[in-house]
Amino acid sequence: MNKTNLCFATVLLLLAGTLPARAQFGDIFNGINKGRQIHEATQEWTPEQEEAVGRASAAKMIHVFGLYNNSSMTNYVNLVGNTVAQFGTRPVQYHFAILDTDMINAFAMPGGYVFITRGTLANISNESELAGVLAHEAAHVDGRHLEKIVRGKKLTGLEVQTGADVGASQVGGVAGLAAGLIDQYATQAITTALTQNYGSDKERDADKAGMDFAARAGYDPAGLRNFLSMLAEAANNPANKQATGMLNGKTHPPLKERVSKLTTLSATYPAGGQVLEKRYRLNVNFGTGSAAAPATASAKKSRTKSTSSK
Amino acid sequence: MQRSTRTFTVLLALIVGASCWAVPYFQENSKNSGDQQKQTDKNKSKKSDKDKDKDKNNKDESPFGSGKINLLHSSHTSDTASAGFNGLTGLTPSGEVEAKKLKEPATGDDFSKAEQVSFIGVKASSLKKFIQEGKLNTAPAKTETTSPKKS
Repeated sequence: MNKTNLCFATVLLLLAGTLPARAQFGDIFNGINKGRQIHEATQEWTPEQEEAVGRASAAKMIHVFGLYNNSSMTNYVNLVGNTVAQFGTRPVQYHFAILDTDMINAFAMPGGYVFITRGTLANISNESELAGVLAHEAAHVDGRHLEKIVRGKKLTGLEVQTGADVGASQVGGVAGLAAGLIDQYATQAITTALTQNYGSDKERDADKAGMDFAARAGYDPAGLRNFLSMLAEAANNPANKQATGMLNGKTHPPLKERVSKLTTLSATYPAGGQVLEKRYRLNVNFGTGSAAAPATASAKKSRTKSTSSK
Repeated sequence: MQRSTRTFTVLLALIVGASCWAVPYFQENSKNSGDQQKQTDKNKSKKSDKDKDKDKNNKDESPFGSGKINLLHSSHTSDTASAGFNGLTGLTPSGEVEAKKLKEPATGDDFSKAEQVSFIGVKASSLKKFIQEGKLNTAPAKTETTSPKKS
């Protein structure tokens, strides 16, 4: 009898002992998990991980805007994009695609997925302007700008919890990144690209590196500046607010501020470089009512002025 | 008496055992609800910051050029032509993506299209020809290629 009671008392003590023990081990396990998350967040993505997050982000971008299916125009955009992207510092396989929207903007996703909108192409007047826009985006990819932002968010615990949505089930785990995590990263990437500013330092770096890529490729280094200069003027017309609103201050610094900095920067490059207006017009043509010529006399004047002032 | 002592001890052991698992569970739950509260507060403060930014942006709008330029549509229909640019689907009047659209998950079709995009590229020979025709420059060859294999 005494033995039985002793036995129960021992069991009782053991059970009571599990309370602090579990808390202690739980802390250890949580610590290990947290450490692994911090390690993951501070490590640069491997090319495979970058590609997986980039592709998942691309799917979300396509969901929002749709893809513009025009193989010859897409091929042309890829030729211009790869001409400037070859001057990047790391070997990335770039995929340039056109989003089916009249909004004016371009986006760089991890893994070399670069999107330009149909509206941007309609309002660009020559190849050097397109090269400037794409070079800016390639510079974002080259500098891993979006990746750094996404990893930083995870580190500070600001990640977007998407749960088990359709996206998560479509993305398979890749090279150490679980499917759910890839989907979370992609959601963060798309949310950042469409609703936030990358930060003035990253935009300044991309403008600088992009101009360098374009100039080294042999384009007029002022291409991006000339295009943004036209947009800055257009943005003052209330009729253009919806098309330019995101680019002008929301996802990028205000246009006039960028134009001013790019003007100073382009002055440091030798004048000249290819503009290739005719080749652009041959490859980017949306048919009737398209961007065959600037819509107004003031637009023409503005473009001439900005081109000659480089 | 002996039986009741044993029963009491068993019950006590069960209660203590259950509490061992219940305490951390409730701790976790209360931590989660605390986190949720924090997140809600954060969202609230973010929202008010956003409103402040909006006001600031509105105040910042100073003239830059004439503001008379009309941007060009790539697809002119009678609707878009009359609506100007302020009729783009999926965008708010200020040009932001509608929150509802942003929250929607990508579909299987979107993933197929993204996969198609992943195969987009240019042949080295086409790029070389394109560069030559435009009197542009080729970059010095890179020594390594780390592009991932496509599945």
